[in-house]
Amino acid sequence: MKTIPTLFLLLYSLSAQASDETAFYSKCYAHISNSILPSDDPKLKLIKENKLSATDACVDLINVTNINESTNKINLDPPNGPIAIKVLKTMNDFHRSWFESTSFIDALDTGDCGMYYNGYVWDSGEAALHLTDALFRENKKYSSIVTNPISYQGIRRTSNQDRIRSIFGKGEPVFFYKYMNGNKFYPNYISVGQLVGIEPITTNIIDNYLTILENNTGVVDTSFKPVIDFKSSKGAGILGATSYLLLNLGRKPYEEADGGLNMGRRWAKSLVKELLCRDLPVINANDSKPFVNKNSSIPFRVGNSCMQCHTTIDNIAGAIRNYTYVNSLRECSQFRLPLLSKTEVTLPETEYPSLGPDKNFNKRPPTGVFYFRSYNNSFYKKNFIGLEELGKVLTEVDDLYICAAKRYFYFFTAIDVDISPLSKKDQENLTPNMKKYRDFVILTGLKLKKHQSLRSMIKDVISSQYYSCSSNDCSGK
Amino acid sequence: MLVFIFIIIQSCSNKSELQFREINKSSLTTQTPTSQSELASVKIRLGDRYFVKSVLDQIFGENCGNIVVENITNKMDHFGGGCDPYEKSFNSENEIEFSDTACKGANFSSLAIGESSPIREGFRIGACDQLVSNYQCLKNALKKIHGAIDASETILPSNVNSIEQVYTLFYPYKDNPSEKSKKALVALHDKLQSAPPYEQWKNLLLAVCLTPWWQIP
Repeated sequence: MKTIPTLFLLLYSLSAQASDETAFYSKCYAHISNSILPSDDPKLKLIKENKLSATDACVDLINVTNINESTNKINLDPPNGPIAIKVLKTMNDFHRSWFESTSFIDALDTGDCGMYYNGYVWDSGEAALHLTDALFRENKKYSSIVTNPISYQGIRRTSNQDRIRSIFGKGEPVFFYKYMNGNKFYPNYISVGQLVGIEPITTNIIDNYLTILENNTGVVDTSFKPVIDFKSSKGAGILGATSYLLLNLGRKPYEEADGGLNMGRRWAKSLVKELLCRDLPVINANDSKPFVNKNSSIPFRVGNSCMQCHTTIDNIAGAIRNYTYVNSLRECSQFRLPLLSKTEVTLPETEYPSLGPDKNFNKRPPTGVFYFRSYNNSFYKKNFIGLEELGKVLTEVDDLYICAAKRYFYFFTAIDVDISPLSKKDQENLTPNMKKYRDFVILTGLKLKKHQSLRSMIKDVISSQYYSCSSNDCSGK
Repeated sequence: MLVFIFIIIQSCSNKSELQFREINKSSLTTQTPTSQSELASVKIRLGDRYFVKSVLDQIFGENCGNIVVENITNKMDHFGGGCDPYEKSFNSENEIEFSDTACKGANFSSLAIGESSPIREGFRIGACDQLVSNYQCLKNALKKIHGAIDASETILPSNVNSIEQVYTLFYPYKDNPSEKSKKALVALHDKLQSAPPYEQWKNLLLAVCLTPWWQIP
């Protein structure tokens, strides 16, 4: 007879457990797909029957959004296609939110000319696509976001396959062109519509442009003699994506890097902020003291408070010293395009100029030193040559991964953790809860560095007490 | 009537019932409730415009979309939710496809997650009010409540059992309302007994719709 109450208790406890699991899955479903869990969701049934854990069901939402290796698309077929589209969009939108500069018109100094169509030649969200690809392409390493030698564009679907019409509406297709002595220039557009996949940019339109340059020397500004590199990646994943460089370079057209005032340091600042989650300065005052030169003609060189930031970002910017923002034409035209020209390295490396600008700085090898203090105050001082080596240096920095953990932790829990190194006073001010959050984010980031899987990291976050406690007491006990 | 609805919102703000953590209980309309230090902050993990839309669509039907689009989807600066400018495309009839996710001129890299604000709450309350005041939208919701509408689509009077069903519409995966909330809803229901069935349901739905907590997934 004793078995009856026991059985009752067991059934009750199982039912309560299923109810908790259901609530957990509905929350996770909503976070990952931005929609309410439908009552007929097949996984919901399995959870209610205690045949599937809510955490596994949640991770499975990511798994069904896999980007196929050969088609570069997610599987759009039912039953998982509709939810996969939502998951892909939600997570890509989340990744887009990491990056501040997203408008070519705002980012580039176009004068009064306007540049209306750049956004249709380059994807202003390419940086996010690198992250989304790392999440949804199976076995893709997180470090690829700073090492991948290729650029990406979204594969998008629309019921109207005519992309130009899709952009400009009904009527005669408006072609993006530039007349040059009768020649027309047709760059390939990126696609528009609902995001369904991510593909490497393989189209080579550089040759077309060079042909036009050769045929039209009287029309095209050739005084600059640029090596036009249109869409291709400059290496190092996000760091060398043409759109990321154009959006963050922060220089005027034809301004060459000189090691002084003219440097692509906004790009350097952006990557520190966006990929390492840190505001400047990221080194101590004592670290930058040796780089102060009281005799310098470069204003910020003479003060340590300035050099505390400039030491880091000017050195990082050394990696892109050979790239200059130019326009396809000097004269005004709504059709002119911003381009990155690359100056060939013809001169030897020198010390970083400290007395004054070096007019040949952009003709020297793209060297630099990565100066950075990590979350635990450990000091990084790593030499690099070019973007690829800079990307490789970043893969060794814990903060690259801790930053990802911080952003994902915030996405799922709305708990925002500062991952800067803490002063003694800061440490004293940390409440026990805040310390737990920070410790968890750091630990999760360090784990990401080891396993390199964003999916595993998501599982770590949603399996944590901090995620489940968002519907309970969040003291982390 | 408003007093009763206010009582219900207050009742539903009981922490133990909806089990929020570290929430400023006075209102969801205050920003960043419990930052204990500048080194970390804890916010309410609100759903963004897409989530809010999906909840309202599920209850009131997608043919009430205009009300939701005007008050929620188009207000992405207040509700958050990403916008991808490349999603904008036109079909062969020159209509914008995927208009629900259009950017509407907002910043392309908007809030990663929804955030609470008085303006957001204003738009949400407006949406609730318009949805329950729209006869078709209300009927769509009532079709999901057992015994609320008959085969000829005549609205039937509410009863005490209706309360839990209305609550479940907005909180399908949460625990049933607490005793305190239930009491408040019953009081509202009792007060509405002399009103026509349409008014009874309208006010019950409005009362629960106005509670802010269903915005938290």
